[in-house]
This record gives sequence, C-alpha cells and structure tokens, in this order.
Amino acid sequence: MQIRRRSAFAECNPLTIMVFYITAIVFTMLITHPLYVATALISSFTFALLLKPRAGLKFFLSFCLPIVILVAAVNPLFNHLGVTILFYFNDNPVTAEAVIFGAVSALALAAVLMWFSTYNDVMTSDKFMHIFGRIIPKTALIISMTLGLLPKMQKRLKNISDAQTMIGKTRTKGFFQKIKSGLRILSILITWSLENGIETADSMKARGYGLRGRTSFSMYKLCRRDKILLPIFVAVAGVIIAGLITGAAYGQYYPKFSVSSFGIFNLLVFLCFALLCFLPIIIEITERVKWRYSVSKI
Amino acid sequence: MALFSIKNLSFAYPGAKYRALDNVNLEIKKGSLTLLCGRSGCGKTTLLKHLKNELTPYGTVDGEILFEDKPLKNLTLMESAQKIGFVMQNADNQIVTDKVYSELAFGLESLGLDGGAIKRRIAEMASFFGIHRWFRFDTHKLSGGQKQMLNLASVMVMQPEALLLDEPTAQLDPIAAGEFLNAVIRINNNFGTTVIITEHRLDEIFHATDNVIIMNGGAVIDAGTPRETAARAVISQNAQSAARAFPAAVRLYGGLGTGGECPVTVKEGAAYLKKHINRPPSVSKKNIAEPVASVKKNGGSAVKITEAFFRYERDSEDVLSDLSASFSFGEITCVLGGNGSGKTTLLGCIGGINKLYRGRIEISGRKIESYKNGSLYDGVISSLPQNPEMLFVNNTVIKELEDVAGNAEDIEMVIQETGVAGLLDSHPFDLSGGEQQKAALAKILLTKPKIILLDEPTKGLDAFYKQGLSALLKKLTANGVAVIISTHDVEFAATAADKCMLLFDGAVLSAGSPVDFFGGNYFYTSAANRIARSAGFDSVTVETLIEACLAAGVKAN
Repeated sequence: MQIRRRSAFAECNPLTIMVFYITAIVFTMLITHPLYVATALISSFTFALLLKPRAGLKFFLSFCLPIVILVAAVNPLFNHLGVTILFYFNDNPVTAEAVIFGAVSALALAAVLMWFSTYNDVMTSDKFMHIFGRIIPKTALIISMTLGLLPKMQKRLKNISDAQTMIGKTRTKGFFQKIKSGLRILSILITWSLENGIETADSMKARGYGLRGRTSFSMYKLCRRDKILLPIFVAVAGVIIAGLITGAAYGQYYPKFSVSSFGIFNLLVFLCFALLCFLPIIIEITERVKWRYSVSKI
Repeated sequence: MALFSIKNLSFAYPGAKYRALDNVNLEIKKGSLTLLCGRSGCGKTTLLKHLKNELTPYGTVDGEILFEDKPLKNLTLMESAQKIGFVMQNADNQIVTDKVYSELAFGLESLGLDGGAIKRRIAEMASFFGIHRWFRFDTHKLSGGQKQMLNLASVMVMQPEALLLDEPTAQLDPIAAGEFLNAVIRINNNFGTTVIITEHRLDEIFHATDNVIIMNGGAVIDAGTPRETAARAVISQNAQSAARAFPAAVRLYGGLGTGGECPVTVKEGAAYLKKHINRPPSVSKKNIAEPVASVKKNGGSAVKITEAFFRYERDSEDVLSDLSASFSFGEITCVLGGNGSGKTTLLGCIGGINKLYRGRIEISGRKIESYKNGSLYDGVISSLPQNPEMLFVNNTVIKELEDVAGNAEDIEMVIQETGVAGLLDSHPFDLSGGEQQKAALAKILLTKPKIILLDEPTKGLDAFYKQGLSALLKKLTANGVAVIISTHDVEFAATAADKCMLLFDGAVLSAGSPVDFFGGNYFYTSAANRIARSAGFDSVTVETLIEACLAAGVKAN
C-alpha cells in the first residue's frame, strides 16, 4: 500500500490550523479587493495542489470552475447597477461594473471553496475534537461517543438485515411491505442498541464517569513551530483588521468601480494578507526541501 | 491480609422467589488470583457485581462486604473508580469513545489527572499490553480480541487494587482468549493486582489460580486451591454441573477414579495417563470412533459447493478462493478455522446473502440461483445468527414463535422439541444467553428448514447448555436435517460433529470425521485429544478417552 503523503502543515497543533483557517476564510469572504481575491485564490489552489495534486486539480476543474462561470455569467444578467453600460441584453443594460463584480465575487467564492477543500484533509475529526474538548469537555465526549457509535450501528444494521433475510423475513411484494420490513429491522436495531447501551453506561460508571473536575486528554502539544506561528497569525490578523477599518483594502463596484490606492500602509496590509495566505505553502515547501536534504544524507 | 471479606452476604432480585446469593462467606487475599466457577445462573456474576458499588444490582441485601477492612459501601466514587476495575463480557459495549488512545484516557480523565500524567500512564499500559501498534486506530476497526484487550488496559491505567472480570473471554475465539487470559495472569504476577475472574473456559487459567470457588444456586459449595477443589469437585454430587467445565485433565482424573494428585494441565494429564494405564491401547481406530458417526447413514447431498470465489468489494481480497465442499443431510458438519478465515462468509454464501463471483452452489441438488423470490427460505434453509437477539421483534417468546407460524400444532411441537415451555411469557431480552439461543432456535425451526446454519452457536454458553444444544442438534439430524455450524469451539466440535472441516486461506483444507480430523491436527484439536495421543489413544472427547482407558485397564494409585 502506498504511504499517504505527509503534510507538514497538518502536523501543526490543531489550534494553529484552526486559527489559520478561520482568519484565511473570513478575510477571503470579507475583502472584495480584486488583488486580494486573486492572492487568496492562487494560494488556496496551490496549497490544494501541494497536498493532493490529482484530487485538488479535479476538485478545482470539476466543481469550482463551473460555479465560477455560472456566478460570473449570472450576475451581470440580473444585476443592472453600475454606470458603464456595455450593451443591452433583452432590453436590459449589461454594465461593466456588474461584469467585474460577478467575476471577482465568483473568484472569491472559488477561493473559499478551495480553502474548505484542504480544511477537510488537514483538520481531521480528532483535531477538531481536541479544540472543542478544551472548551467544553462534555460536548467533546459526546461527539467522540457519537463518532464511535455510528460505525457500530452501521455494522449492527447490516447484521440484523442479513439475519432477517436468512429466516425469510425481508421478502417483499409491495411498497407497504417494504416499509414494514424496514421498520421491523429498525425496531430490532433500536431495542438491541438500547440493551447494549446499558452496558456502555455501566462501563462508564465503573471508570468514574460523573466525578467532578473531569479533564480532557489530547495527543497534541504546542510545539516551537506553533509558538512562532500563532503570534504571527494574530499580528497579521490585527493589521488586516486595521486595514479593513481604515479602508486600506476596500474594493467598490457600484455605481463606479474603484479600489483603494497604493500607499505604504495599504501595501503593508496587502503583504500581511499575502503572508497569511502563503504561510502554509511556505511551511509545506521548506519542510519538503529539508526532508529531501535529510533523505539525501541517509 | 484480606482485600475483600464477604460476610453472610445474601441477595434477592426484586420480586424473585429465590435468593440469587445465599449466605456467602469469603475472604479474598490481597494479590491472589481467584476463579469463580459454576454453571450459568449460579450467582457468580451477581456476586462479582456486588464487589463494585456502581454495578451492584438493585434488590434486598443482607450481610456486608469489607474492602481493606472498611465497609465497601463507604467507598467514594473516586476511590471505587480507581481501586476496583471491572471488565465485562461484551467487548463492543464497553468501549465508549472512537479512538484507542481516548478510550485508554477515559478513566483517567474522570479522575481529573492532567495531560502529562495521563500520557505517561497510558503509554506505559499500551506498551505492556502491546497496544502501541494500534494506539491511534479507530476503536471500531479493532478485532474482538483487541477490543477486549483495550477494555482491560483502560481499566489497568487507573492502577486498581482489584480487578474483577466477568466472563471476559466468552465472546472471543480461542487464540484471542488465550492471549487475554495470559495478560490477566501477567497482571497478577507482575503488578500483584488482586484478580477475581468468572469463566467458562477453564483450560487456560485453571492452573494459574490461587483459589477456586465453586458456586451452585447462589451458595458457595467449595473453595480452595485448584488441585484440591478439582479433586473434590469431580467426585462430589453437588459440584457436578460446575465440574463439567473443568479442564480435560481434571475430568479424566474424575472419570478414571484413581485418586492421588489431580492433574490440571495437558502436560500433567499426559503424565498422569502414562502412569495409570496398564498397557498401551491395542484397540484400532474404528472401535473408539464415535458410535453415532458410524451408524448414521448419509442422507444425500444437502449443499454442494464447487470452486467458489467470493469477495465483499471489487478491490478487496478474496475471502473465499477456490473453495469446494459438500454437506450431507442427516449430518452435523462443523466448519472450524481462525478469525477471519471466512467461516461466517461461507454461511452467508450458503444462506443466499453473499453472491459468489465465480463457482456454483447447489442446494438439495438445485442451483442456488434457481430459488427465486426467497423460496430458499420456504422450508429449505434457515439460519441462526451469532447474536440471537437479532431475530427478536416481539415482547414475549410465544409471540416470537407466532410471528413465524400461525399453526398451533407446529408451535406446540417445536416448544416440546426445544424445551422452551418455561420461557414462553418472558421478554426475549430478559433471557440468559443460552435461553435466548433456544428461543431463537425454536423460531427458525418453525420455518421447517431442511438445512440449518448456525454461526458460532456456543459463544458464551456454559458446558451444560452446550450439551443440551448438541443433543438437540443430534435429534434434528436423526430426522434427516443437515446442520452446518461455523465454530471456534474445538471441544464442542469434537463431541457434536459428524464431520469437521478446517477453513484456511479461503478454502477447505481438510475434512473428515472428528476422530480422523482431530487425530491429524496438532494444535487445532481438543485438549482431551492432546492428552490422549501422548498415551497412544486417538479419542477426541474426555468421555471416549475414559471409555478407552477403562477398556485398556487402569492402575489405581
């Protein structure tokens, strides 16, 4: 079997990963400046390609691209704001501003989708649990129990349906019989699971569940890398928020297209955003180079 | 020093006519390994549950239990969780979380330990139990043996004083059961943890215990070192039902009635046999062969499988590959094999729920595909699943039976045949494992099958129920029914089967009568056979071995 490609960014602490995705996705959605949108799209797409070259490309071409084209095409047809009229379509004006806005928001949407596509690979369920376990241990346990229970139930359902088939109880002639036989199987599943649940409850009680001051254990620790990355994310986010408030990164489309001009502060805000978006890629690539180098010495 | 002192303990479940525990007096020494035995329903599980406050059943209690010289009832939840560990029978139900490491941490989280301490303790226990190889796995992907080992480790991380085990290996295959019991013995030896265990499968642990306690009808009828207790039990009338589950060597000793030191392991049994048999047996194979097998006529081909190939998914591995086998009417055939050797899959193929991708199956001389629209289940095939609960939909046993057949005569006949008359008004889920199985068997018999498939029917049954099951199946085959059993239980196959086959690597490796089959195996054979062959016998059950020995002549001590 092929060993799964390891990802350096995925090995960071879940908190680091979570902070990154929240800031990256929120800013990608908030900022409408075309340059920012382009940066977000390029970085999210590159990161997806780094993590999973084939699947990333496939996701982009077969899912994102059609949506981009659709949104970009639909906006100017239904939105007639803007002052620069290009031509009339069915007696309705098609404006340059609406075309640009459609294209930019479609690309922003694609960027958000691409972030989410890598989120699933990097942030697995147990990492998500780690963060929530810290905040609300009880909920974390419930999620963990549910995740453990679902495959168990699935297996039981299959067993029950096989068992019922082999005594000739799932033969069906009509629609209602089918429903009846389904309900029969479901009823066994529920009775049986409740019966089993009593033992699970006993096992929890026997191991002291219900004592005050329950802690939540996790396998992740905050490494040196996380201790460097987290402050960077926070600082960068601070600068970008300041930029958003002062209008250093605005993009306006209606009635007339205009974006914030280039000043030193504006440039700083943009660089911060670019740094945020490209950090996972930088980590990924430097780690791979280091890895190649250390492998070459073996 | 006594860890537990049980003084005049009596207990009755609410509304019950009999006491489940009847004036029990016991001292459990610190650091000892104690075995509680007795047939199902003798009160051993009830007694064990009284030793852990959180699991004590509701009812009227008399007498008291001291733990470390203080009343057990005064133990706080914290102390109880930490000092007394409990592992139950069903491995699946005890697992709470989705990852192996979070399961290990569960108890320590309850105790409120910090991350560093938790990690150190679970790392230590994971290494001790060999869990480190699957430390990060999802719990549902583990095998049954791994799950039970995880349950044991999840309790041991809390470093308990006492470890209570309630039939922990009942649901495991023999290899996993052996590993589990060895781990228990290691815990007792290495950590000095006091262990109290109830078991049906005594061969693997009997010799390692310090104390054997025999219960019957809620009372302790004997207690002492394993050798003494065994020697007394095999001649005592009271302890007969418990002694039936004792190791083969002990039962042999009882059957020959020589007196002297009682052997408890296969090795000791072999030495014992050599010492007490006058002359090596001159009897030929045929004479010792199970009489039933030789008398029975072959009733024609029930199932014929030719070069069968099967896999669950397109890209998965073959579970059955090039399997050919035939099963006859009027015979009990046991299909043996390790975990994952494809026994259950094979039954699924015969039962029509798994479709071969190559090869053919003939049922009563007709291709299985020709049974259209479920006609396969109209008096042809019926199947008893591993968990009989999967067949129950109603709230009384009699309604379960009426669910299958409307004919009162048929129902009456099946009730007689299976002996479920006393259970008719009970809820199927309130029955014990053995009773549930009888009720489920009654249910499938009502479909009047000519071929009956049973998947691991002896799982969790005690020796008494196994005998009953074997007798019932023999009655069915006498009427010409074909019985096909998948089982791990070598001892059961040796007594019940007319024919045994070994499944390995997706195909049938060897098939034959129990005597031929087990005689040719070294490891995959009954303990009785392993003792017998050392003295030149070829018996596979304790009963036939005793017969053969008596025929050959036995020297008293």
